[in-house]
Amino acid sequence: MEVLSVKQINSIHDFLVDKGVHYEPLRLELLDHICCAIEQRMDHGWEFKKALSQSIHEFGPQGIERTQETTIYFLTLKLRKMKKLASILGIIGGLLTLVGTIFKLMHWPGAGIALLSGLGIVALFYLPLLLIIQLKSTSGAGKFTYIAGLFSAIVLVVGSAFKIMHWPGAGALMLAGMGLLGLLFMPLYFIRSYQQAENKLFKSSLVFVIFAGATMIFGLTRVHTSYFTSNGLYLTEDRILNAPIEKAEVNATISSQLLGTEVIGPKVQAVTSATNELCNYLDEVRYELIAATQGISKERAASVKVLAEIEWTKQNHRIDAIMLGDGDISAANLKTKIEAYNAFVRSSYTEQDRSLAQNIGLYIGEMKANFDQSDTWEKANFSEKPLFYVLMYLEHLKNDARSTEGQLLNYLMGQNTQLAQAM
Amino acid sequence: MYICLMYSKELIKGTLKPIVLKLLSEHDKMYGYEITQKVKEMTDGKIVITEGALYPLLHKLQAEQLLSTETVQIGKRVRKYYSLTEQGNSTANQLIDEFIDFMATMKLVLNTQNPGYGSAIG
Repeated sequence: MEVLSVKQINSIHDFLVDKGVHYEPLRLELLDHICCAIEQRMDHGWEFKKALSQSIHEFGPQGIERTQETTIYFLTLKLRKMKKLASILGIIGGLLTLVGTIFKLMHWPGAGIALLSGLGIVALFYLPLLLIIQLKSTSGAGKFTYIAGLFSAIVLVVGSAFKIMHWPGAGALMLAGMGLLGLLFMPLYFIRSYQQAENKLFKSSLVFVIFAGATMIFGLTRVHTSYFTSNGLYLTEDRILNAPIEKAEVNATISSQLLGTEVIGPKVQAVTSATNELCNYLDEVRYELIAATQGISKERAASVKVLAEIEWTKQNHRIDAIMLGDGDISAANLKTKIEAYNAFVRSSYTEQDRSLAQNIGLYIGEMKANFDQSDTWEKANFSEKPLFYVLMYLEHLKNDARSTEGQLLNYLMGQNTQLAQAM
Repeated sequence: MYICLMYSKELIKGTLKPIVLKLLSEHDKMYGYEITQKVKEMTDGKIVITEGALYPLLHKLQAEQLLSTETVQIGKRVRKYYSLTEQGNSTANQLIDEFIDFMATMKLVLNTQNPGYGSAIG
């Protein structure tokens, strides 16, 4: 039996390489196949060259190329199906996330469900599928890098879904995702690409720039407001919160001097208790709103004095539900109480001064709601307003009540002097 | 370009897999060229398996874990032997049984004279 020489075998091998058979298992197999066919022909007296060309001719036109094509087609069929599925899932997940974001920005209903399903598809189906696909086409150390990267991406996406939905644990998830990304994936990825890089200095500089950029973006976006801005806000808030308290103290000193007097004393007593009652109700409203939006008890809300403790974006729609509703705490009820208070204050002025006292009290008429539009007092102050504004406005009302109390006490003090002179 | 000579393409479609699995179920291990020669010999040259059809199928069956492989150094080149796995064995039996049943059914259809329509009603 004829046996081909190494030289002959090598020439067939080179021919297959020339034909573009790059898939090695198939190339070696075809090599053996062609060699067998040639050897058989040579056994029947053919010479090598003729046997070779006949054996290749048997493959048909483009036969060798097509054999490889078909083989690879079969071998990658599953992978291509997975890639197709991944693409469809990615597009659906991405679209839902985009639509959800737009809805959320526009305050349209259905934003939460769209965002949640979009991020859910991405985190639970798209990314794991991507990982499986990558693992199939990656070998060795690269696998672990992909696992680390995609796992941190999954945790980050789930974390942001939690954050958007205001579910507990969002912060921890985001931190875990960032940690995985920064401490596991990035070092792995950079070490790997550094090892594979041809120009190590160039690669290092690129990595350094990316690292600096990432640090900048992460560092600067994590801090929402600068130190001076937030400090300024805290100081402003302190002033606003303290103003009615300081006024109440001044009023208390005046009223303590008048309480003992015979005619004016009972009037002072009535003014103080009416004002306290209104201010207590305003506090009640404040606690109710903080409790409802932050998801804490009313007792806990009462001790939340500093606005820094409050998460402003939380559950703002609850303000509307409470204030424009018909419960005990509502804008309508507040308006009634203010009207009663105003009426009481105005009636405390004597007959001849009553026309002057007409405008004394808290303003509850029409107001500018949004820049130039006028609306009812309730809507202008409590409809679709951020918690920050509403809380500050309540303090403003308390401050007005204390001012009104002060005015009336001054008036009563004057009356007391007149009475004393008359006696 | 599947298996040519004598038979039309439509007829031959779907027969390659049973042929290969049947051959491997009767032999411990076989390599590609051996399979083509065996089929040629058994069918008197009426069915010739082309390389372009055989090797993609062998690789696919290997990926599906119906076949296992063994590489042996033959002189100055390597030879890849295929053999049925346990799973491949049961798939082979199933497929061959199905094919035999199919041929029997075809025989029935082709040997029976057309009884015509309408006689069953009324």
